[in-house]
Amino acid sequence: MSEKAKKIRFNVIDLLVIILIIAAIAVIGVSKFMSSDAAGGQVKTMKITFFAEEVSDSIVESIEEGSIVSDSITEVKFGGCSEIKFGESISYISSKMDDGSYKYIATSRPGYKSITLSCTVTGKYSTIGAVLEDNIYGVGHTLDLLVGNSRFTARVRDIVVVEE
Amino acid sequence: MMKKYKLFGIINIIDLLVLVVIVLAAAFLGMKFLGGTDTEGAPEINITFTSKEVSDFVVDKLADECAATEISDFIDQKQVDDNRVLDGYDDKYIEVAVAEGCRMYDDTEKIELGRCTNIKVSNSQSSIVEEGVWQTSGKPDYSWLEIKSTVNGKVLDNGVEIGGETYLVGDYIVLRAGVAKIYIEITDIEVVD
Repeated sequence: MSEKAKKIRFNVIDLLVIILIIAAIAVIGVSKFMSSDAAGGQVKTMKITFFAEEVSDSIVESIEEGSIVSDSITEVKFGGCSEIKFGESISYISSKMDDGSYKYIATSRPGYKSITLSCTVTGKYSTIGAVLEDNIYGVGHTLDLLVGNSRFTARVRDIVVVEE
Repeated sequence: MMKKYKLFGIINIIDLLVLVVIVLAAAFLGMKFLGGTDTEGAPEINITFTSKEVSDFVVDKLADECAATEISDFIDQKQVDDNRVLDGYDDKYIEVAVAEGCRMYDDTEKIELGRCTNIKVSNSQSSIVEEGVWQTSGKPDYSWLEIKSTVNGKVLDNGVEIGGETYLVGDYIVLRAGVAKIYIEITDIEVVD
């Protein structure tokens, strides 16, 4: 047998190894897709509202209507933002009460504001959240949000279907 | 020499070892991703999930998903009354049995955890350390939340098995309760008679 023929020869073990590797890849692939498929749902247009209790004034100044919003980890793009609302920042501090106990109170911190903004997206609306590019977003989900040139930690405050 | 030795005259011993390892790996993957979901005939299990501090907007969404309007009303009233110091709310709570509860889903393990059957909400039980002493306080815009679900599973000596995963009291999971997403503790597991 020539040297060239020897190089491309497979034995039965090589064949089994190849089959099992393909099977393992298929199982992992199927399980990955199952995570978002398990959510189910139908394609809808949704309004996702994000909220952060405290962002710095420099971030406030850098955000404007239409700034592109995305998730820095998953790289999901939510499109341009709208309905931007800034309010007093919400910081929680403990304060001594008349009876000597301590209670949390909400106060505002100078140089900071709270922010609420919305994006309109198209994706699957499932029984466990909005499915966008195989990622499931639910109310309460914390994410590292990119808005225009700024980055801050925010939470999904609401998801509503705006168009069936 | 080892290189020339073939088991039964057909398989090299190194190839055999590789084959054994691959078969074990395939069996593990198969069990992990495809097995352990058979719950037919398995007993019903009530699981209680509790969080001491959940944002009111998350609780409100959960209530909305389960059509529990009493919970939404309670949250609305709490926010009106709180005046940034939630005096008088520490002993108040509301509990609602849900007829058609939302879907419950373990987001980490990708396991269905049945349907929500009961929601209980009170003032948050947030922790404070002051003057070297732990104290508990309500926190504006946050609530204490307890959710119950009923699911079929296998009863083990320690905990219960649902969808191939073992759950025990004290476990923390990322729970999707309908569209709400909550980091929450399992605080009770009870087998239905």
